[in-house]
Amino acid sequence: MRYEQFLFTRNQERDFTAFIRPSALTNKDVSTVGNIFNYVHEIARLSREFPSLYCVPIGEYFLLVQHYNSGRRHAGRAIGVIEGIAVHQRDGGEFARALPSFVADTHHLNVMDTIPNIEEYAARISAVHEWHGGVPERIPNDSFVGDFLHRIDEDRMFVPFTRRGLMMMRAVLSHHPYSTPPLFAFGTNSSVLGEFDAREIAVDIVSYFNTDLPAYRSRATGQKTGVVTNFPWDDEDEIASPSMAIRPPSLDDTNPVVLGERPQERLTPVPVDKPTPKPRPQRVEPVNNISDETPILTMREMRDRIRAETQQEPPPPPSGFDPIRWVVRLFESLVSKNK
Amino acid sequence: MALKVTLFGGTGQGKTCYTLALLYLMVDGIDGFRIEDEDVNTTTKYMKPWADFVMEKEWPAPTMGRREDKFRLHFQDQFITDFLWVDYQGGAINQPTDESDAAAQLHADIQESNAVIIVADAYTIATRPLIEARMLTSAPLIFHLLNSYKFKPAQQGETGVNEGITVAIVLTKADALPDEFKENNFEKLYARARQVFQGVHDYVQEERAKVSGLRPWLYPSAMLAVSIVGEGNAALATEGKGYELASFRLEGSPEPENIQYPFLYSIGNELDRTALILEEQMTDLETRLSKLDKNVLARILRGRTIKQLHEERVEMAERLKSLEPKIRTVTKTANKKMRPLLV
Repeated sequence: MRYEQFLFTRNQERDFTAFIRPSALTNKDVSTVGNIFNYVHEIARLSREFPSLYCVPIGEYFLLVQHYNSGRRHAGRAIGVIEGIAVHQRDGGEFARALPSFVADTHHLNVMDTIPNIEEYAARISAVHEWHGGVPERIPNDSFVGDFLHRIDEDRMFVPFTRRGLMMMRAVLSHHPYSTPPLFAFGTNSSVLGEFDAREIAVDIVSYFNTDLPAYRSRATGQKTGVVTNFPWDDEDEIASPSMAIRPPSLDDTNPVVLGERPQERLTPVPVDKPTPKPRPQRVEPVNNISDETPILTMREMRDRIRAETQQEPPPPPSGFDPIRWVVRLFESLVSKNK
Repeated sequence: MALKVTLFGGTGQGKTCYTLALLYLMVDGIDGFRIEDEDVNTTTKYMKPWADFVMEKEWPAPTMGRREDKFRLHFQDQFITDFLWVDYQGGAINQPTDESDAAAQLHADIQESNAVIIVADAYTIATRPLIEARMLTSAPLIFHLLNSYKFKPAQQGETGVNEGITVAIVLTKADALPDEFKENNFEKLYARARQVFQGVHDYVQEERAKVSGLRPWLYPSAMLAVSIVGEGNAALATEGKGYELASFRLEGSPEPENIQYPFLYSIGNELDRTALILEEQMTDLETRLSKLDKNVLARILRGRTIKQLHEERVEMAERLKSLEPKIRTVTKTANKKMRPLLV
């Protein structure tokens, strides 16, 4: 399978930039990616060890994306990294077979580490790479995956943004020789899904940041249509998804209407001994005497004032040659000389 | 037809925070003004990152794309106007249109905008050498865009609603300013901002002069120092150097100050300005638009014909006639707080 790489991020000088882009990815496609991922506000909580993962068609390609916090900052704000591989949509069958391997080992999606210094890096086109990986080992769970495949036309599967949820998604991906890859957004929110929907990108597997329980939901209505059963990996103890660290357990937060947007309840904070904060230095408070000043004129007031001033001004002194006035002045001067 | 207000400025200047704080304040209503979203989920989507900012004390991530949302402005529960709010990644200013779709879209947005809100980091303006402040706020490129799509066409004799534009400059991070820049109601900051945005300042000054052939009310322009977090709630974390901007640590709960006034100024004065122009003449839109770059024109029309666009504007002129008292309410409120770009 032939694939290209992409890396979208920013440095101190350049805003959101396609530092590495596939050859056929247009400016418009890059802008689409930026506009979609603009709705991920939780970037500070996404880690390289447990990134968000997406598989979506953009332009001529299927993009397999990992999205995480780079650890770098600009003006105090966390800078995200959007990177991964791009495969031409015409090679969708091959990509579908290779997909489980890439998801199982996201190291293959890492482009950032190939760059010595992002601050000095000039944007360029990706080289074309060949993938020679073998067929990945199947994660056996026929009952669960069978249910997913039975429902795929009508329903989306929602899984938690945890290692368990990831394992569920990998089981689906590894099970079936799909003709085109299943599309997924693993670690996202409803705004991003809305952006995909608006572009008619029909995602099959979804994991919101606050999805707790796996469930099926209607593609058309978003209503819950079933629960995911018969999945053996339920050991949450070893799951340490950083983005979930502050999320409390709840019964069902897979409702697309609210999930991703529900105010997060907080766990009881652990009391810590904090040093007594130093008193802030006294600052000069700005004197707000605005109301005493003359407010800015509205445009209508300004126009009316200018018109009034123009009308009050005396007529301008005559300029240029006026033959009648010249004759009058000549006559006056002749008369006065005669006197 | 909705007014189009485009928010833009250099990267890291505070556009996203300003938008979030503005929506937070105006959803509930302030000074009698309130905004409502057209799509009920829009406010929810904006409120989530604002909640994260307040609760987690984490600055919103840098904007990566363009966002356009439709709102309605109300005063004491009376509808005043629809408006489109367009928010941008700062970097779109710095790129040529043939290299960036976002840049092409920004050019089209500026051309089509009724009002622009320029967001600039007051701390950068106050603490960096003038030339660096101009680069970091993208002031020359901001002037270049306004000049290309708003100022120059007017000078070349084109007329109509798009002949002028309302310009509001929002000076963010004012709470972090050195004390000397806060004294006398930010007098020194405003003086400095006039230097940084010299291009815009000088153009408006020239057009306001009586000798100008253009009417002086084409370019309502004002600025205001604002704070998203409020006095004493953020502390300097790192000083800026080179392309790196200063960063701040949020220590207290945000208490936004003066946020709503630049927005109200933009809406009110633009309605006022548009009404004044439409009172005098209607534009030959076709002549003007036919001179535009093909890509820019396509984005402006968005599937409409020029005739349809013109009809929308005629309809707006009719509506504005009935709105004058409400417009006056908005402009009076905002103009009391805003400081003039020209002195």
